[in-house]
Amino acid sequence: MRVPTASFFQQQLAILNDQYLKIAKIYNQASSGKKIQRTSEDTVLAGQIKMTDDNIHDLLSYSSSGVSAQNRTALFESSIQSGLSSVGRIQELIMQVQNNDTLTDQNRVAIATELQGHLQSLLGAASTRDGNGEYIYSGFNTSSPPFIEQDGSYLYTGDLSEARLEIGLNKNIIYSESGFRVFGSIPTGNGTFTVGLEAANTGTVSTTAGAVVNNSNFIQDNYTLTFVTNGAGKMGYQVIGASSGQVIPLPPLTTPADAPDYVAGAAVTFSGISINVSGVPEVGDQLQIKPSVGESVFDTLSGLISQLQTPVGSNAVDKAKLSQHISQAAASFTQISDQLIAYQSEVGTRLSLVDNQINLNEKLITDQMVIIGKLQDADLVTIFSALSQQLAGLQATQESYSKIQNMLLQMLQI
Amino acid sequence: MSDITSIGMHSLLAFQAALTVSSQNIANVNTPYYSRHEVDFAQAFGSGVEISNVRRLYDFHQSQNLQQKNSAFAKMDVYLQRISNFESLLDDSTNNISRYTNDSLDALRQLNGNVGSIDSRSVYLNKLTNLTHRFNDISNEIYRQKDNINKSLQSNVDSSNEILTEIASINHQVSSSQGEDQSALLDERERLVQNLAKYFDFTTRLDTQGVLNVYVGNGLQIVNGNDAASLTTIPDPENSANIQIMIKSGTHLTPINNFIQSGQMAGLIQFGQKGLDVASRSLDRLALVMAEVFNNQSKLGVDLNGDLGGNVFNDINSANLMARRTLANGNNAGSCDMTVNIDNARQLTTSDYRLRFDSTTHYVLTRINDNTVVGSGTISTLPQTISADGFSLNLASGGTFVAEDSFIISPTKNASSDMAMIITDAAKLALGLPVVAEANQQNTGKGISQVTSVDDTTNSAFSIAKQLNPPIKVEFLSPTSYRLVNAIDSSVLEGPLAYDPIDAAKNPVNIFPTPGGYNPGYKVTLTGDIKTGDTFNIAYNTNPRGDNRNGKLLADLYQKKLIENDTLTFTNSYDAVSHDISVKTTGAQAGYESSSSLLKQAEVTYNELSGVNLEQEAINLTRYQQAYQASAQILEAAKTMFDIIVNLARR
Repeated sequence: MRVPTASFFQQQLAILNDQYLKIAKIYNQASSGKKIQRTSEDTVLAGQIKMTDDNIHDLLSYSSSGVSAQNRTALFESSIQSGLSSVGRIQELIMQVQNNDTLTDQNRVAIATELQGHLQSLLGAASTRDGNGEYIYSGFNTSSPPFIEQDGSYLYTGDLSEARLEIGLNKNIIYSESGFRVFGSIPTGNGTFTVGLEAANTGTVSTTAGAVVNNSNFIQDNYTLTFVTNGAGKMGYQVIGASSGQVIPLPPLTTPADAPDYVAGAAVTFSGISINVSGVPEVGDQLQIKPSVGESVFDTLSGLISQLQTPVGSNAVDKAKLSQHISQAAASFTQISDQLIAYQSEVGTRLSLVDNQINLNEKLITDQMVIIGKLQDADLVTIFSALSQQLAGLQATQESYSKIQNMLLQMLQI
Repeated sequence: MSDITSIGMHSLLAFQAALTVSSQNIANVNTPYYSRHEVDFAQAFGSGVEISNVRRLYDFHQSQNLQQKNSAFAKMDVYLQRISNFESLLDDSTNNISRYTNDSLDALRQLNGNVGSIDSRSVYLNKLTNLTHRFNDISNEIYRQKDNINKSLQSNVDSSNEILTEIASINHQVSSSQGEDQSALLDERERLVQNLAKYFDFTTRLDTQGVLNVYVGNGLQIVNGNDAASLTTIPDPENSANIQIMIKSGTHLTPINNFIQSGQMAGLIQFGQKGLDVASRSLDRLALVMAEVFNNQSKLGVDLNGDLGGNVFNDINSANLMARRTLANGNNAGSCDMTVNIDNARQLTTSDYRLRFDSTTHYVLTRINDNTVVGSGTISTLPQTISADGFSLNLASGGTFVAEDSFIISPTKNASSDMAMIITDAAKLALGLPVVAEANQQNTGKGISQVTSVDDTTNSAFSIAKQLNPPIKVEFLSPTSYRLVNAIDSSVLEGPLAYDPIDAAKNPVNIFPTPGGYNPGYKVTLTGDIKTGDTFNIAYNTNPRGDNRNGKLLADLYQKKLIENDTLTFTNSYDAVSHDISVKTTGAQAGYESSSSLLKQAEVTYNELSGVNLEQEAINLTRYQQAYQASAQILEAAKTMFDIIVNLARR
């Protein structure tokens, strides 16, 4: 085969060029630390890298909402914590009033004043705002405080909806809460019914908050207990339900003739309900037993405060009425405390859910990072050995080129 | 005696000529397409040696082979260079549409945790604007590159024309200088042919006179002896953005785009069609789908001010855009105004369509990519609407058609260059839903109501600003039955309807029973134990400051497969385009390498015969020089002999 001189030079040039290109590619790998600089160098590998990168990106974007959710949930937790500590102190104060017969009107006003402070701090807890000034207990309506006072009662002005944030695929966490659900609608009394004294009572009876003692017999109704003189000429009582009719004495017994005798401190039991009644009633005095209704913490507390602020002096009838209010308030606050504790544990669950999700995301991200590292990072040892190999090849080419060149020159010098 | 002198004379002259040939070879060692010459010596009877022939070492078949390889390499060279540049544009990891899409999703997810914040809203708006700009930038770059292709094709055509004229002129000189040394002419023509091969592919034939004729495709002659036809370009009648290459002979124009399979022109055309056109149609479709679904979702929401949401991006069916999606063939005899409405961007393909009339009233609509007929029929009256593949074509009244009229329909055309943000006020991002359904605060039951979807805000229920028309109260007549009441005038809209709390615990009950029931364009469900007298209020969401329900639905759009028969998400769709170009670049790289090595082989084979080897020439030079010196010695000897004889005679 003849190799024309021009072709020989061209070929040498092409070989050198090719080697320079290979070395440049290795330099690129070394300087960027990546196996491939662009997709076309290895479309399959690039596809895998892209997929992993997308996964990581997706997880990362969830983790940012995870952090928001974490902060929000922590805010719920701290606000409910502060609410609960107020409620605890309120319950102590109620107990103090209940168990201390020697309190004067002034003592009670002082207690009412402290309760006033707790009312404010509870309101403060419900009106918690985030860093952007958005109320967290107003549902969607985050620009207005959840509860405002209007004519002595507390109105929920927020929204009843809950806004949720996605912290993982289809994992949503509440980030804006309905304050009505948390603070606005807690059943009064013992949670099932309330017991109230008729305002016109002239006797000194008062009652415990009572309880449902037999669920299967329980019938919800508006009951009225009236003290009557029974057939034996003693102080007796009858109970009539607005829709269930006469329940004490049970028909066919008639009232007032068959009304059972009143025994102070003993339990009155009807329709699955049991209430302990004490004190000295007058004939015609009445108790109203009604189904509980939802009431806001703030209304319950401000009702209690106004009762405590009303002087009773030494009037036994007024004292009985006050004591009835206090025992109802105590029962209501048990409900409130239960509700807030339940909510606190719900928030706790939410917080651990967020934490778990964040941890899971972080773990997944770490795993994917390892995978993508293996896929895309160039191995420096391999690079340098490839580089020295290429450089050796280049050197050999250059040397053979110059040797052949010399031969040609020598030949031409003949 | 005179014989010796004569022999010496002849051989001296012969070797002098041989030395000239070798010198000429050596001098042209680096001249491209110089064919070396070799001398043939022959014994001259009685007078020594003579040069019987100076051969030009040239093989026409090797030349044709080299010409083909030159074309193939030039095509791959230009194709690889263009497509790999294009790859860099699309496959830029920090600056591509997928990345901007993901960035905007990140911002939206963050925003959904803080929908009341104007700052967070602005961040999302900026991310969407960046995304829009990237669409514009890429499409501008595609237009620029298309323009550049056309300019390059034009300059290819100009250079080709020059070469064609020169070849014809050399043909003329060759035929008029028969019997003379034509080597220089032939070498020059060889250089021209090989250079022309870099522009496009053709075949050549040598006639007995040594005249070279040039043909394109299957026998279309562009150089005929002394005459050369010229190439010219016209705008493609089916796509004004492209140009078509024509052969012009006299006034007759013949399109040859389809014949050009190789050479730079083919590389440019292929990059335009397989690179730019394919990518730009996919990107345009992506822009259309994004604009459509974002706009639709936004219209179902409420903004920070409590107003119903509007378009996020510009309307994909504006009059201007609709009118620009069709192109009448320049040769049409009839005319008709047409607009293209995108009915459902999710059903769009990345193809253009051809509407062709085979009579004055009968049309055939063909999807060009796979050559499938997607519609045909008779048009008896105008206006008329033809629908296919997610778009509909509106033919305006007053149009006329003539058989063989054709129109190109490009539903996706210009979408990414025209994409623009309409919302500039961050408060107008519609992140809430316009409806809230709330249990009455006095309810004694535990029923929970929820708005499950808002489907149509053009429903009359939304005809009054910031109010439902009418707001609805759901009244429970018993724990198992309810009715729907107009909350303003207390008129009964529907009911009583049955409610099953046990069933509702599993599947929340849709309060507007479907089908056939009252349909206000949104859906509300109830679940839980509900007591007699409980009510639920369904009202307009006038304080949506903390409502992220529509924001989450917007975020869902990013994860949904909405493109290409619901198989691709937004980012999938972009990645597919980018990946396709990368795969084509890989293919082009392989094609480049193989065509380059084939070209090298062809050059080696060609030069093996025709190229100059300096060693060989040096040896020849030495050889001829020695022979020349020896020949001189012959003359010297003859002279000496002559002198001896003369001296003898003198004695």
